[in-house]
Amino acid sequence: MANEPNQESYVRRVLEETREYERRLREDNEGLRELVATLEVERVALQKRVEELEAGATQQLNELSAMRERLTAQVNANQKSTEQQLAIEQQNTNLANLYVASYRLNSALDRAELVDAIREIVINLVGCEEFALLEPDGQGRWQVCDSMGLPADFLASMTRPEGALAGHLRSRQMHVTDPAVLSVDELDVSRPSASIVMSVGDETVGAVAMYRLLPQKSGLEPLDRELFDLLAANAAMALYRLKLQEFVKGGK
Amino acid sequence: MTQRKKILLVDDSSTVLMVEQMILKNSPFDILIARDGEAGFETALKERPDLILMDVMMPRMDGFDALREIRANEEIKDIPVIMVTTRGEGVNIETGYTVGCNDYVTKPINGSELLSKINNLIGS
Repeated sequence: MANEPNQESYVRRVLEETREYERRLREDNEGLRELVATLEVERVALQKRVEELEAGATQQLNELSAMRERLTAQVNANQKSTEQQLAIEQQNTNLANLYVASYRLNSALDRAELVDAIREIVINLVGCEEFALLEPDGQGRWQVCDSMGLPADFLASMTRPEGALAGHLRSRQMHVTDPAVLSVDELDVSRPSASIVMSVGDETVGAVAMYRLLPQKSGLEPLDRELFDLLAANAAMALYRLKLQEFVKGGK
Repeated sequence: MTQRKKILLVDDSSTVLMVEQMILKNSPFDILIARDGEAGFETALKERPDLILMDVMMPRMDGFDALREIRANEEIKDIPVIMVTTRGEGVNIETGYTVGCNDYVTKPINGSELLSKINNLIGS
C-alpha cells in the first residue's frame, strides 16, 4: 500500500506528459496546416505566374513567327526587286547596244566610216573577231571589203563561196549556227557561225560572215540576233545609200 | 554640296564609248573621254578622275602602257582603273593585274557587271 501514492503520481505524470505531447502534436499539426495553406496559396500564385509566362512566351513565339514571315517576305521582295533591277539594267544595255549600232550605221557619211561601224559592231557588240564583210562585185562573185582574224587563203576562197556559205548568200536570208558547238579545229570557210545577208528590195548589197566568237562568249544571245537583224536592215540601207551617193557623184 | 564623281572613259572605238556613256547615263557620274592611252594619261593628270575605264588595244599608247604611266605618277597613281578587254583570256587579265588594274570587264560590255564593279570601287 505504501507504493500507491507513487503509482498514482506516476500515472498522473504520464497522463500530463501524454496531454502535453498531444497538445504539441496539435500545435505542430496546426502549424503544418497553416504551412500547407500558405504553400497552396503560393502554388496557386506560381501556377498563375507560370500560365502568364506561358501565355507571354506563346505570344512572343507568335510575334517571332510573324516577324520571320515578314522578314522572309521582305527578303523575297528584295530578291525580286534585285532581279527586276538586273533585268532592267540588262534591257538598258541591250537598248544601248541597239541604239548605238543603229546610230553608227545610219550616221556613216562615207564607205570607210560605214565599214568601220560594221567592224566595231561585230567586234565590240557581238563579240566576234573572225569575220569578213563581203560585197557582190556585180559579176556573180564576191569581194572582201573588210575582215578580221581570218587567213588570206580563207579570204581568197570567199570570193567564190562554197558549201553552206554559198547557200546562205544565195538564200539572201540570215543564217545562225550556235558557235558554242564549234571548236578551234572546226573553223571551216564554208560553214560560218552566222551569215547576215544585206538586201534592199531584190538587190543584195553585202554580207557579213562570222566565224568563231570571242572566248568569253559561250554562245549567241537574243541581243546578238537583234543586232544581226539590225545589221541586215540598217547596214543594207546604208550601203545602198552610199552606193547611190557614189553613183550620183560619179555622174556629176 | 558634294562634288559629283568623275569617270574617264579611254577607248578608240566610238561604238564602245557610246555604249559606255549610255550605260552610265543615269548614274551620278560626270563623264570624261579620251581616244587613246596617251590622251587618257594626260586627261587623268589634268582632270583627276575618280575612276578610269581603260580599253587595252588602242593606237599611240595601249591600255597597259597607259596604266603603267598612271601607276608611276605620284599624283594619279591611286586612281582605280578598270580594264576593258576584248579577249577575256587569262594572259590579258594577268597582264592587267600585273600593271596595276583594280578590275576588268570583257567586251561585249555587260551593263550590270560594269555598274557593279564601278560601285564596288568608288560607290554610286
